[in-house]
Amino acid sequence: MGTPKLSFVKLGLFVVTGSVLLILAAYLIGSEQKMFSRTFELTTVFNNVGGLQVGNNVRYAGINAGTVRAITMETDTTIRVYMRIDTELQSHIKKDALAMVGSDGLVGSMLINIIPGNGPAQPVDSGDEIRSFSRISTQDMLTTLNVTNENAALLTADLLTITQSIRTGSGVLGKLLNDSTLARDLQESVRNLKLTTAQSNEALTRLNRKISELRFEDSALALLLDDPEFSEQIRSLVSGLDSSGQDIRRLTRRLDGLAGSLEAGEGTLGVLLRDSTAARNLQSSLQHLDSGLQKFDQNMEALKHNWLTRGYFRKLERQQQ
Amino acid sequence: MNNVASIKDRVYLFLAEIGELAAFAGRFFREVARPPYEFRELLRQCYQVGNRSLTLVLVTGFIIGLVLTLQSRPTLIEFGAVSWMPNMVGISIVREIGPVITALICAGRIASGMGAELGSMRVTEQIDAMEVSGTNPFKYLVATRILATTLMLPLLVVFGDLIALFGSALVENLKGAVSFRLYFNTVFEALSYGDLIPATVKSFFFGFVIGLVGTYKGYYCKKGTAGVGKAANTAVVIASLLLFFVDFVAVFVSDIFYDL
Repeated sequence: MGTPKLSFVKLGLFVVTGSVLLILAAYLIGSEQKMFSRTFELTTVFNNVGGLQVGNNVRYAGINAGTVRAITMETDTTIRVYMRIDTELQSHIKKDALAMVGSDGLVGSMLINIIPGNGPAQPVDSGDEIRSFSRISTQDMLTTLNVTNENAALLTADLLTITQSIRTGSGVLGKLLNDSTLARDLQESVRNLKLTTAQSNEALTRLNRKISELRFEDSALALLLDDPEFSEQIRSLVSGLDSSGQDIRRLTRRLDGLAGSLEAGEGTLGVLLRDSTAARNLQSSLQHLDSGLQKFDQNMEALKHNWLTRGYFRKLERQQQ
Repeated sequence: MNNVASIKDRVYLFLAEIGELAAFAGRFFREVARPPYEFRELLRQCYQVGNRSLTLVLVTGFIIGLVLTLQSRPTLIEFGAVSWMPNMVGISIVREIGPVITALICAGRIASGMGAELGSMRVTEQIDAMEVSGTNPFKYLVATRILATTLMLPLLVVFGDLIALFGSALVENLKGAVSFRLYFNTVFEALSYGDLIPATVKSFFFGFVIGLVGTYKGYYCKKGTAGVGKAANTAVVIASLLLFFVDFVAVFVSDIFYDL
């Protein structure tokens, strides 16, 4: 028998610990299924639950909110799903929330995702039915993927042709990639463009500075731009200029006519200009006139000293003085 | 002709053994329900079965959890499913590995012990002496032992499961940087009552089988020292075999009830 008392204590410890662990495990499993927390019920209707089972998780905005309590066939096309949801979340789930059958990862078990609605709405009450959304099935997804794949194949074929032509150096892009001269030229152009831009930038800055330095108020430009009286004057000046211009044009036309007649040798002046004989005659006439006038001067001098006329000249001199 | 006769004899013996075992079990139920109750002996046997086996169960469970995780890791990593380790290990240990390993260890330790103990008591005519002195040897020796194994094995399974999960969590924690809290959260999320309840019920049957076979073999031990050894040996072999049979039936039945 040994020491029965101690062995009984040990046995008691063993039994109590084992039982507590078993109950704890049961509690933890149950609490994961929201069996011991206060819950309320929501329902929703699907056309296809995709293998959903009683006990599967219900998630609201990604957090575990409860479990599926029951799944019943309502009519031949509608399936009603009853969900047990944690009461703590009741105030957060609104009446416009959407229920959706999903799966936990690619190979995970099925679950119901409740997605918050968009607008403001009242919180759900116990036993409410929320709207459901049938997600596209895997088959639909694969069909779409198939079309996408075909398109992708066509696209890659096109891309291949493009890249090949680029590699062989045909077309602008190919030249750009393969022709080093073109590349260098392009580089040079870009460098020049950069330089030009810098210079024009500098010029603009300088111009800007000049403009800002101008004392606009006192300048002629201000007068030109702002004074209405002056503008009136300018306008009359311009109109005067205009009429003057017309006059000048008329004069020019007349001068033109004159010049034309001169050219043609009409009139005295025309003859003089055009007829060399007349000119020569005129020249000799002038020479004769000149010698005539010299002789006349001599005669006048002689007259001054003549006693008959001397008195008259002296009287003239005195009057002049 | 000789062969046919021997096969016939073997079948006959086999059926006789099953019949005797069934009658023994029936006698147990009759005796255990009828007063007076041997509480003190029951507690002593519980201590022998429960506390004395605990260390062995803990060590084995820990190593099983450790090894199971280490062995599955490379394959799960290959499939990119290493995050499912707690689910896989949790479900397999709680549903099957924990109860079966614990039961097998107890079959080795307890059934053989009982076979040898009762066998030597039979051989040394202590059981006959008890009958003469007015004490019901079946009630005192057999019923208490079977009841003790039936009650203690589920508790041992709980300890074994927990320590195996702890060993698995330790590996995940060291190799995969998974925190203990995340590990056990995932395990309990993966488990359901459909895993825990059938496994626990199954453990009661395992305990009953171990006690039943151990005491049966010892109680009906043949005369002589060789008989004691044979009783201990066959107790372990038959108990282990019966365990797997009961396990199969239990899984079969729980599948019907839990539809899993």
